[in-house]
Amino acid sequence: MSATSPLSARVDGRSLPMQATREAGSLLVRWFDELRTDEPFTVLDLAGGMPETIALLSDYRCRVYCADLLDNLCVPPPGTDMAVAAAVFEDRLSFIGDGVIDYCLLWDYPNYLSFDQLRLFSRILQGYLHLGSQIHMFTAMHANQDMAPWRYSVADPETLVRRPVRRAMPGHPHSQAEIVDAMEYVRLDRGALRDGRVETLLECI
Amino acid sequence: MFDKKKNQQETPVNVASVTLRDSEPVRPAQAAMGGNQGARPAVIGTTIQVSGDIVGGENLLVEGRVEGAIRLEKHDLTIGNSGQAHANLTAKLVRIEGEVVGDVVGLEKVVIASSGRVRGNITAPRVIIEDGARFKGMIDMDFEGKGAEKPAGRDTRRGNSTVEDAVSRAVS
Repeated sequence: MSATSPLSARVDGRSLPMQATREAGSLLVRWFDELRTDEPFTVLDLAGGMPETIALLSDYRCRVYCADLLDNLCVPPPGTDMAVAAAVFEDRLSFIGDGVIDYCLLWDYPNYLSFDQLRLFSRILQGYLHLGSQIHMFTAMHANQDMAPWRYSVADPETLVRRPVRRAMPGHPHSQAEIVDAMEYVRLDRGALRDGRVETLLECI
Repeated sequence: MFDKKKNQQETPVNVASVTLRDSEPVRPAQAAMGGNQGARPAVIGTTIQVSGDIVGGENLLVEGRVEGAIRLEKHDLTIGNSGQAHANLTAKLVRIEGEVVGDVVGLEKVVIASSGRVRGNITAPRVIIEDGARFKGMIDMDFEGKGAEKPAGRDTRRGNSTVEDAVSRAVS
C-alpha cells in the first residue's frame, strides 16, 4: 500500500512524484526483530544518509557507512575496462576502511549495473562482509521490467520511504536468480513482491 | 556592478590557536542559535578566514572559513549557511548548515541541516540528517560505548579480495 503525492516530475520519460512517499510493509521487520539496542552493529547504506534511516538507527548502538552511489553516479559506462570499473567501485567503498558490515542496504543499485559489473561490484563488496552478513535489495520479476529510479530510506521497520531520483539511471533489472549467480557468496533468504519489484533479503554464506 | 561581495575585504587570520572568551555583540539572526541557555554565540563572520585551532568556552557560529580544528566541549557549534570548515569539529551540539570536510564529534547530538554538506566521519549518540542534506562518510552512534560487545565472528571479513582478484574472478 502506498500514498503518493499528486505532484510529479518526468524522469527518463516516466512520471514520478516529486515528494517522498511512504510504503507500509517491509522485509526489514525481520532485521529489526533481531537487533538489540545494546549490541553494536554496522550498516552500509548505498542511498546515502537519508533522514529517516539515520533517525531510526539513532535508537541503536551502531555505525552507519553512508555512500550515495546515485547522486555521484557510480555506474561505469558500457564498455568500460573491468580494471577501471573495479577501481571506481573500490574508490567509492574504500571509506569503509577496516570496517566489517553486518547489514547492507543496496536498494536498487545492483539494477543499475550490467551483470558483469554487478559481479565485479559484488566481489569488491564481499571484502567488507562477513559470514552471516545480511543484504537487502530489490530484484526484478522479469528482465524487461520498468524500474523507476527511487532513493529509499527506512522510517520504521514496517515502513519504507522513497524519493524519486531526478536523473535518468541505466536499467539492468536483475532477477533473484541472476543476483545469486552474480553474488556467488550469498543465499536467498526471503523475497516479497512490492511495487512491481521483488524485495529481497540475502545472507552471506 | 554593485556587488557588495567584491567590495568586501577578506580577512585571513593565521594563528596556531584562538581561545574565545567574551561574546561580541551579535545581530538578531545570529541569536537564533539554540542550545546553551540561549547564550548568544561568538561569531566568525562571512569574510573571516581562520587557519589554526579554535578552543572556546561559549557557543560559536561560523559563517566564514576555518581550516584547523574547533573544540567547544561544553558548548554548541553552528557552521552557518555560508560557513566552511575544513576542520575536525568537537562540541556538545554541532549543527551544520554549510560545508564541512573533516570529522565531527557531537557529545550530545549532530544535526546536518537541509543545506548542509558533510564529507567525513560523525561520532555522536544521536544524529539528525535533514531532508536535502548531503553526507558521505561514517556515522558512529555509540558504537564503541560501554556495554555488550559485538558477537564473535562479526569482525572477520568473509573475503579479502584485492581489486585484481575481483577483476580476474569477475571476468572468468
